[in-house]
Amino acid sequence: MRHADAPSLLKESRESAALNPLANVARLGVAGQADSTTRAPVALTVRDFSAWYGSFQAIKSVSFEVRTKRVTALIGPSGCGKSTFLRWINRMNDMVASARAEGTLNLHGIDLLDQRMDVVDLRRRVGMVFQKPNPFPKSIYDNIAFGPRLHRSFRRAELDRLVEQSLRHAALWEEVKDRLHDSALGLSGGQQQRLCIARAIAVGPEVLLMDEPCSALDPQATLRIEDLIRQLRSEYTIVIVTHNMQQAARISDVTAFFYEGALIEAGRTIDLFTKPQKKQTEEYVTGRFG
Amino acid sequence: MSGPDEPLLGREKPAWRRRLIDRLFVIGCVASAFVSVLILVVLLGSIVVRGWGHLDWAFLNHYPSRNAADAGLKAALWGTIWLCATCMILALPLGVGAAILLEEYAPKGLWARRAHSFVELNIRNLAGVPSIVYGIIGLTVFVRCFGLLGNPNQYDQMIRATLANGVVVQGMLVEDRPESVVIDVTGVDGGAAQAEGMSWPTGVEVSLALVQGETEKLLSAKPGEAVSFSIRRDYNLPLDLAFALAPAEEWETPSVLKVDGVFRESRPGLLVLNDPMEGRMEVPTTTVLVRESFAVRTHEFYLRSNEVVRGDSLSIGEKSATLVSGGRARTINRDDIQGYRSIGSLAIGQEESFFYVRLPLGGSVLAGALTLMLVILPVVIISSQEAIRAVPKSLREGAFAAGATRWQMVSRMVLPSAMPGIMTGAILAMSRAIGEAAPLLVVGGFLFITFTPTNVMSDFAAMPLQIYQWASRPQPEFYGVAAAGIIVLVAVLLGFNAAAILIRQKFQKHTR
Amino acid sequence: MNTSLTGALSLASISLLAAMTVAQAPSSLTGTVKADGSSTVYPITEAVAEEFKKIVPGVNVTVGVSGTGGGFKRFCAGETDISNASRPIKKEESEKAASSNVEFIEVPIAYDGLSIVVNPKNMWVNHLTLDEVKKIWTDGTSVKTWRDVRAEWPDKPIRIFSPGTDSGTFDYFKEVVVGSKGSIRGDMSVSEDDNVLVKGVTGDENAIGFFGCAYYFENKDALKIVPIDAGKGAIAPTHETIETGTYAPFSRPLFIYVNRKAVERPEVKAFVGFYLQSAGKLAEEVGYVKLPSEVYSRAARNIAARRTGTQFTDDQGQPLHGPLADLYQ
Ligand SMILES: Nc1ncnc2c1ncn2[C@@H]1O[C@H](COP(=O)(O)OP(=O)(O)O)[C@@H](O)[C@H]1O
Ligand SMILES: [Mg+2]
Repeated sequence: MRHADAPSLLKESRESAALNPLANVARLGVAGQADSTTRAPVALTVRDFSAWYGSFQAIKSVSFEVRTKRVTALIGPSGCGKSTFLRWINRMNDMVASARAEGTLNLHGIDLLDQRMDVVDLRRRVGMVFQKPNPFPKSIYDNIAFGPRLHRSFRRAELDRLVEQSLRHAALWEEVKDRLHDSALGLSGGQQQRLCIARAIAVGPEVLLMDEPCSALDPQATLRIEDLIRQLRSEYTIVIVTHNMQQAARISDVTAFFYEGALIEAGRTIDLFTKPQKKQTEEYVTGRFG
Repeated sequence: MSGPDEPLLGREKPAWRRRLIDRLFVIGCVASAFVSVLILVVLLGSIVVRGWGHLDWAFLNHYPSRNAADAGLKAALWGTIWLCATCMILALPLGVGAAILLEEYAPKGLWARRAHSFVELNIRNLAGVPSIVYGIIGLTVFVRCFGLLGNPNQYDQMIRATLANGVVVQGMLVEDRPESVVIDVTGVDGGAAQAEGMSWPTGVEVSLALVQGETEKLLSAKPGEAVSFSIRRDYNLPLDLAFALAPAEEWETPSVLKVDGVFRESRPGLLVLNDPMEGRMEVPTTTVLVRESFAVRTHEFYLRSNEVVRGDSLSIGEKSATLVSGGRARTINRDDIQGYRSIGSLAIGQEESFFYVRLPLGGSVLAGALTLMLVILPVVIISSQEAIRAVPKSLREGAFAAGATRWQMVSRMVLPSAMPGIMTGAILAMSRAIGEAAPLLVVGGFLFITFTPTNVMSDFAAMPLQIYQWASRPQPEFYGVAAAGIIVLVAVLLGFNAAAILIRQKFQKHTR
Repeated sequence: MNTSLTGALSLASISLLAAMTVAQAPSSLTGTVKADGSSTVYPITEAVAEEFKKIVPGVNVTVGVSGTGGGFKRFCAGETDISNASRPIKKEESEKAASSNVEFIEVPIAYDGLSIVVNPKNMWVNHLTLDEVKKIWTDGTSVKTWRDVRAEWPDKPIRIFSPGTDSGTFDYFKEVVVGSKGSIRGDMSVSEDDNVLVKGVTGDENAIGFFGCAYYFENKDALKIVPIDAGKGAIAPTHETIETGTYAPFSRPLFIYVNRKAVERPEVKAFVGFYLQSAGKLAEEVGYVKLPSEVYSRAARNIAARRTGTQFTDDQGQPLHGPLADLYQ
């Protein structure tokens, strides 16, 4: 259904979100209600997952679960393998010749490490937003339409609607509706990043991966993105890498702490920040190292 | 290291000296820029001064001449335009394709990687090979096709004659005597000869040496035997012009449909023919490979009433045909005709479409363009590679992340982004191609030529050859003509470059 | 046109052939004639083709400039109908032709004198003997100054300008001065473009150079000609001395070679006939010297008789030397 009809997808997912009791609960507050987080269905299962670049092991036998329509934050010091993990979820690491992985990485029953798996279809279902905004050197309109056009052919009016919906969803519509055909490179950094989010949404994914989406932005723009993530939370499974502990605390339901390639601790954000189980976690979240 | 209280290490450089060096550098840059611009201005200026007087419409519209005043650039100008356009049409897709392969489809296996870097290295080396070497390659490979496919000049001697009894004899002209021709027969077609299943081995010399009228002998002739026949040389008798649209078997493309008919009219993109049996036929000219025309003299019509009508055709229309025989005209309805054949037609000439190709290529526009393509291909590949490499990784990742296949990523993201760079490379390549003389000399570019190319098989002249020839003539009057040629050459180059810049700007619209 | 050509014909009937071709069917003769070869001969063939086009517009004559050697390469492979040559065909070249079944008819069409020139400010040279020429140009010579040539001349360095070693002009000069086996000194200023040589000699008081007479005739005022004494007194190149053969040995014949098979094509036959008819006049017009008229008639007869092969080598393939009118029968 999702892939069959992208334009109607946004609306449909919004409706289904409204009908889903779990989603309603989750909306009540950031990591507020104890059980809503753990009761959501599993989207991504990670079991004994290890990843290498050549002979260097970047991820060491990680196991945990990412739940549907929750925000999962990955934190940890630089170089601990967060991006690597994220890039295995949509197989972006296929671009790196030396990258390989072992273990289980399963998205809604699909084995993501299967060589025969259709990565094009996977990337339709798993959108990605990068650390540095990377708008295409095209018009704002063509940026949003880029993804949908890859997969389907549209009549002009349909595409117009889809572009508008995506931009509205990314809270950018009001700012750009009069300059849709201007170059996307003329937008500010924060706008560019929201454009990239809109571009990812336009394809109609279930999962959104964000790799430090705010690290190149000023505090004002960061707050706007955080607002946006909170809005998107009801419709998408979001995995976000962040450097910023406050940010993780503000926007995520679940937090996973990586250290030197290993997963030290994962759990409800509120638990991880208030009563960490591991000493390393405690030291990291209190800012004693990292 | 050093705290705020400790003295700084090292010796302070005097500020005035650093500023002076900075100044001198700027002055040096300006001076060298000025000198090179000055040299250019002086060069161009002197050429313009010398050539301007010769530059007029006649200069562009005349063929070469021994008189400086009459000498013109028409053949060379069009030759160069054909060459460069054909060359670019061939080199751009090939070069960009190779660059994409090298940049975007880097192999993973060890040996494949080695082969890949070997190819890359060699493309760089090829860019430095003198163009005359490519000329020699072009001569062997394109012009002569390694000598495997015969002599490129051969086709000039091909004769195709329809005899008075309807038999078509075709073959190589061996000797042209006033009363007859000797041909190496390569095929016999039509009439009783074919009906009887007579086969003619190729290369047999058949002497056709008797007088007109005794044509019947051909029917009983054996290969190698003398038979009578005449090709009449009085070309001034066409009543109708019939076109045979065909590469008949002799052009080695047997899979092509042959259409015969009487020429009615030629409209843009369309040839209209009348056939006594089929009626009106419309043939799109884009499908026409070779167009042969014959002057049709006599027709023989077989009517449903079993009557045979024979006569010179006065007109062949859509609905009926009119024949003249013994001074009497007779009109026959198409519906009454059961069969017909044309007798005694003469080959007048043939025309080819612009994309008509024959092997070996000979000293044709296509052979020249392919050779120039070899010269510029390394430049095109390298500059396209640079342009493709300059497309940021983040754009590729973005496209992949949106679910693009590799081809979609290349065609929708990399190529549009790299197009400005590719076009800049194309400009450089074109500037090189347009001025090349040596390889064209080797593949057989002509100088004196009194026609402009009509298809890629045409002979050609080229501007650099023509300009060099003028410049090296003893008569000083020709220096001005040569200068005028240079001005036109530069203008054509600028024209091609303007086209490339327009394309570049189209793609650059959103990058700023 | 209908006259039988299989037999010896005089010049008169060849002219008749051309004239009749023209008169009978001025517009109907069609076809292509391909010529290529020497850039020295090019201006003559170009002029002939230009005039021919006016009379027989249906025939396309194309003329290239691959050089004498390059032209023979194509000609001997059967790719061209006519080869322009500023020297007789070489043994290897005619063997190549034979191996690809190409027979050729040799047709001399004009003379080109080689002029040896010095700067007009040069007051001391008023002629050179052939031996002195050899002394200047032979490889390994000790001549560095003008005094080394003749003792009474000034002790000034001699500066030599020469056409490129690929050119027929250089080949011919070398043949005369050192023979086919010898070699010419290497320390010369060389250019493929004869106009550059003219400028070089014009600009240097101590210069000496050689090139085709056409370049001297066009630049008479800027150059000083050096008459050559080959045993019969000092003789300068003029139209008369070249045509009569008195300006020996520095005048050379120019040729076209015609593919025998191609002559059978009416358009080639007509063009070659017209060429012989007009070569003398047009060659003079573009700066060369016409041949004695009996040479043209012999050429016409040879075409009519389809006489193939070269007359400028002996049975062993060695080049023959001597006045054209004696060698070419
Ligand atoms: N393409 C690559 N090739 C080799 N090593 C890499 C590559 N990308 C990342 N790494 C290494 O893998 C480790 C994890 O990197 P990354 O996942 O980018 O860390 P993070 O995103 O947590 O900062 C680092 O030590 C890094 O140097
Ligand atoms: Mg990272």
